[in-house]
Amino acid sequence: MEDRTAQLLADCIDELEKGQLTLDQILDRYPEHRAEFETLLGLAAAFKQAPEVKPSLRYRLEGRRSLTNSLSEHNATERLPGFLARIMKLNEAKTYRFSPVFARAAVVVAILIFTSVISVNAAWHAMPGSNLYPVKIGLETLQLSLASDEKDLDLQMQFAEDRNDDILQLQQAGRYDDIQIAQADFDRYAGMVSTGFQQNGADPSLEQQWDETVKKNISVLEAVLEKAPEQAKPAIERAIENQQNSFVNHNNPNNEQNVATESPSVSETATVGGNDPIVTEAPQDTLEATPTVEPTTDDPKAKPTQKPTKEKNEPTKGSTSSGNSSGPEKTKTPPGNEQASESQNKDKPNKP
Amino acid sequence: MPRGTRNPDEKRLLDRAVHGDKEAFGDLYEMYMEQVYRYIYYRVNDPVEAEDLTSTVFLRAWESLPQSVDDQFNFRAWVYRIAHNLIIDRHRMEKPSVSIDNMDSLHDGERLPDVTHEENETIRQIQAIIQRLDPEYQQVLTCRFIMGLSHAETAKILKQSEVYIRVLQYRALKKVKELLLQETGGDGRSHRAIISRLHR
Repeated sequence: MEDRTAQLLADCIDELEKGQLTLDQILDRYPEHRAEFETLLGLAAAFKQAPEVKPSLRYRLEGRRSLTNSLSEHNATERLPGFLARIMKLNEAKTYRFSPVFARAAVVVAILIFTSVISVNAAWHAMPGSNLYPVKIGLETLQLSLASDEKDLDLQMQFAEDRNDDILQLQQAGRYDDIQIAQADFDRYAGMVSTGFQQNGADPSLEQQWDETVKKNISVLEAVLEKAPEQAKPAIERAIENQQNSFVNHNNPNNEQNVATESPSVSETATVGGNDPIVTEAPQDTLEATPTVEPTTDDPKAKPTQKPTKEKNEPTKGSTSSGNSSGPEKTKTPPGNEQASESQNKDKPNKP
Repeated sequence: MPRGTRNPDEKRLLDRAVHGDKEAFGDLYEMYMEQVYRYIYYRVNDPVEAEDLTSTVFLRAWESLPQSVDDQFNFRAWVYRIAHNLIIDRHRMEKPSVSIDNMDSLHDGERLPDVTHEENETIRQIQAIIQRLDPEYQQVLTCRFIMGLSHAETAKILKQSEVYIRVLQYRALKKVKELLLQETGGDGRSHRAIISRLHR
């Protein structure tokens, strides 16, 4: 009912605006609304006769110049990239809600978020030896800590596989020093996978997949060995031997000979330029989680300790100080070893 | 420029303005400044503030100019909408409450330079009435009757359908009538007297 009356009134107003009929003539058409419409049309006509108003003379004279002078400042957003300009401009219907300070703060926050996203994205593609590689490892660790137990193993295997790819790329780039870092991380993830198999039972398909990964690591190392500098070859050979042992051990758990490996992996000893083996410094945030100790020269066949060694000054049975007081102590943790030390478990990030 | 008509040069000026031509935007300002001022003035009741808000409307329009404009783009409706938003913002911060009885105390010494004393009285009465309405009613009455915009243009500014604008217009006028009756103690003769004063 209201809608119809509103339409009729609007028609009456339109008629009045055309100026072809008088008010009475229009009202005569709608006798049932005459009383109401008379007042309302009177009000409408009163509003329509609102006097013209103009701004002050000063404003009229100076308004344009003042405005165009201000435009250059406000037009600064044009120089911003499109999406930032849009943030600055926002929707004209909503801009009144935001002060210029708020809009600029929003741009700063957007830039910070944007650069953070770029950095994280770059970190995911970082190679060992780059400044962002520790960030990449940190992200992987974070991903593992957030993943469910079922997903952990998949991720660990995936990350180990990624290290294989890293090694291949590093070899193509001739960065043999950085191969040590990649192999150290491969070993670390291999330790986690081995522990996972022990704790959760063996899924044949996963085991087969892991075998492929270890085989690939061996073939990758063999490819590296072919072109590696002479100084690096012994360490690479030992790493290959380690992987072969762990592979055999993994597929034949009763093979006692392979319970403990004798040679430190390439990640622990490889060096290109020097004559003395060096302890590989893996990225700090990963090394802290994976302390390993070089085997003592007195007892090279000693089995890795069963218990984790948290205190560096308290070496456990089967492990001794590397003799290098400045370097980190390391516990040998061959991947695939059934008696892998619990230090490997420390590699696994704590679940939140 | 007559109310409600679109200048044929507007599109050309807009094309230049969106490419950063400040002089073209200055021409658009000249074209619509007085209309925008009028639109704002009847709703804020303060000539100085109306001037400030008019400048702000055009600054915001410059900042928010789209990358390109097509034939459908209605600059006038767009700046009115910006003006409407600014006024709403102002109302949120300071809700004025003015009755017709005390409207004479407003704007002492702020009489507009180009209007007669009688016109000034009429303006004050209209402002006093408008300011006591809900923003939506203010908008529709200002657009339709003070600015002389069509139902279609008003619908565009309010982003509503034309049918709804007609209903809103009806409700707004009824509300004005109700307010006038309240002010005059329900005396129909008095409110007709006010209407006749407005007509003057």
